[in-house]
Amino acid sequence: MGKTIGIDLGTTLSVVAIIEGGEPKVIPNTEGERLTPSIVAIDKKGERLVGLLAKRQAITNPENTIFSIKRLMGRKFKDTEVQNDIKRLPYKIVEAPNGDAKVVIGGREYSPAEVSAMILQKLRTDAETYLGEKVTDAVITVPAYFNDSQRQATKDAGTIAGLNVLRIINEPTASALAYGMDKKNEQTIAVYDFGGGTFDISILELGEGTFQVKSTNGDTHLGGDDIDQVIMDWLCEEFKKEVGIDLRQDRMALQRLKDAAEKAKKELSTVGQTDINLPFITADASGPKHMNITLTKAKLEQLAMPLIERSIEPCRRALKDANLTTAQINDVIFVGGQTRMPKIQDVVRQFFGREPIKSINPDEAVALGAAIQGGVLKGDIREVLLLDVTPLTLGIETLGGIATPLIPRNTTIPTSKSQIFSTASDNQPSVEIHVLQGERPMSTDNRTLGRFVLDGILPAPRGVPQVEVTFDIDANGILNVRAQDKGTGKEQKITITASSGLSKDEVEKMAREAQAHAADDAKKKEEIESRNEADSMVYTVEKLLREQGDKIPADIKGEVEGKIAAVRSALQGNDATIIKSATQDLSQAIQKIGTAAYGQGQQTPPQGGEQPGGQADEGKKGGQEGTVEGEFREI
Amino acid sequence: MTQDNTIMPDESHAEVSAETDTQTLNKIIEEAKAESEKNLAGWKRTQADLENLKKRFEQERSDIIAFGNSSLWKKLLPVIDDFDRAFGSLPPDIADNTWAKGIELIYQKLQGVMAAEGLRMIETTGKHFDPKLHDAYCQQEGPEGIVITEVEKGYLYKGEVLRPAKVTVGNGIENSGLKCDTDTDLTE
Repeated sequence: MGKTIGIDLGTTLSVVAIIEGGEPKVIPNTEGERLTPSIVAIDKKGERLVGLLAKRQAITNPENTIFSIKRLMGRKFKDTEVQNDIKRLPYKIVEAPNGDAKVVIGGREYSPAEVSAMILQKLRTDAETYLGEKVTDAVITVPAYFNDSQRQATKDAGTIAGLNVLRIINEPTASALAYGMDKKNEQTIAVYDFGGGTFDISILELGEGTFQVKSTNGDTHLGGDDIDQVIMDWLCEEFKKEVGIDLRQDRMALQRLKDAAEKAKKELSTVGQTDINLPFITADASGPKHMNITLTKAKLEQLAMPLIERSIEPCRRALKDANLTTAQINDVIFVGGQTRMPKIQDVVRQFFGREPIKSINPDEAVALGAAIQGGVLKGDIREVLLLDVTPLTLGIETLGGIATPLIPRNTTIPTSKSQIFSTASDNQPSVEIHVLQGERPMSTDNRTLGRFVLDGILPAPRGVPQVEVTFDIDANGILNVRAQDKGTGKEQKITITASSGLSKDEVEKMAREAQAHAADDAKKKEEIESRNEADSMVYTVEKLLREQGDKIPADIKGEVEGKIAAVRSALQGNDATIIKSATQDLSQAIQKIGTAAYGQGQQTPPQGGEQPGGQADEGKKGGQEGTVEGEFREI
Repeated sequence: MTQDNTIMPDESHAEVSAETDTQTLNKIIEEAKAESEKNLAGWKRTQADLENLKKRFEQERSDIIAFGNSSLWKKLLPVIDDFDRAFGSLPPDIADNTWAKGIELIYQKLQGVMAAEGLRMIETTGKHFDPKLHDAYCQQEGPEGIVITEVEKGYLYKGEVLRPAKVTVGNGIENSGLKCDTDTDLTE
């Protein structure tokens, strides 16, 4: 049984995706790119080129390079759109005996379905190369406004390409699937698709497990390329003001400007301003000229606003056609790379009165959704949906009240994780396992799931006993926590059912709180860790002085004792900086012991170096390999 | 692998005939067998997917190690292009200036690093146009299908095309005086 691919067969770019491990994933083509130009050519040697290679030679071979074939799919030669395309396209379009439009490549006539099949074939072959196995089935997307003839032509293209077309689905529906909309109840969804060249808005209704397109609208001449153009125009104007040269007359300069404008536009999605720095952009009699202009986010938004506002009128019309108001829209989802622009997100949020969902890569949402549909039809998705994830981090409390994680949030279950811990005090007879759920670094800020005690630990210096703590979550979400003393073999455990956890709203609240308090929590944790580290170092050094004191020169011993006193004094207070500084001084002082010992020809290395308990890495680094010094409180 | 779907015969069926009991039990067994086979098949498929993912992950990891710097070099190429432009338009009256010479030495050093890291320039002028290596910028008079001029350098990185070279290609027409015969971007 071969694999199933999902294909977004676009006018200018196509994308292919597959379900892998239950998740949709875009497959790169053999050129290493995730987007494949929807271009086909026959070169002068009669060789067929598809994708990037066809695009690169287009200028040398305009009559035999076919692009935007999607515009001709399922259309008659006499259709108005086809007649308009004939006027502007460089390749030949002819009428077939049945009235269909056909294109001529290399002296031969091809139907649009045959040309699209060449693109689909490349996508299929590239997918097979990537996966190392056959691809037999496909789900292909089409615009929601495609009629039966156009849909049939797309299906024929798939068949010609050797694919078993499981389904033709609408592009907005595919993107809704990618966003997991099918898992919700009755919903009305607006799909706002602002791509490179066109804008589309679709209103979908989800009911009884199927999507219905209520209305579509758009602007076929509105896209991200237009925003690049307004930036370019502005740069040319600014440059002309400054230098007196019109770059619009210089083809190579325009090419550099286009690339720079697109790059700047993308950067301004995340930063407040960017420099367009183009040395040697042109030259005149007085020498070379350079462009170095700063474009701010505010200026970009000002330049782009008329274009962004143009997208709202089709949204109004689509709502009117669907007989709906913005209040009746449950969710808005974004498709198309241009929706990454913050101003577009603001405008859409204001118009629809709700936060749009944008968690999926908008360039790939349609292909991902097509792959999901393929997965559902073939049964791949159904089986994997049985797996769940743990919504919040699970861990235990360790020395100083720190929450030490064992299973991070969003880990797929069933899963199991073990870690070795030790004791905090000498001769500690028992440890308390305090099971926690939450994202905060301090245990008091997380939720207690349960507690139990493991006793019978043999007397030993702190950090020596090994207690293995195992967290095991089964497929039903039941958590079993077990603690075992590796020395005695004694163990205790506790079972926590899912119902003793948190609701979805509580989960989201905890995740939000963790984010809001991140800085404060990090500071608090740092204070505790520096305290733990100081305490650990004092213990180690005092032990060293007791055991090796007679071998240490008196002056060094005195200095070290003084530094120990300073650390103890710092630990009386709460200032992490002072504690760290005192710990650092003590650390430097004890190095003199080693220096003196080696200098005097001593054979025995200082024992302090064997116990790296000085590191405050969540209080975890222990004296033995694999031992984690996340110590327990003595009860 | 099966869960809590064990079907317990209702006690009220105790009075039904032995034959019906056998039929019911056989049905239970068949259903359990089918469920078991389905779960085993699903488990095997998941295991196989995992193995394939591991293999692909290893391949991708070694690609990242081998070609991990390609995206960094791609970002640096426009800066290197600017150096080429600068030296391409060096005024003759300062060509021997020691400061200018110093900058040239710095650029040579950078080119040395590029070569050592596996970057190679793509050959252009005079070669047959090859869309795997070249991106046709425009056509101009000259032998058909031959690269006439290089508009922007192209580079290979460890044998793979990092950026194709932008070139002008001969249109097979002589003496037309045409530098570039088109201003339109044909592919939208």
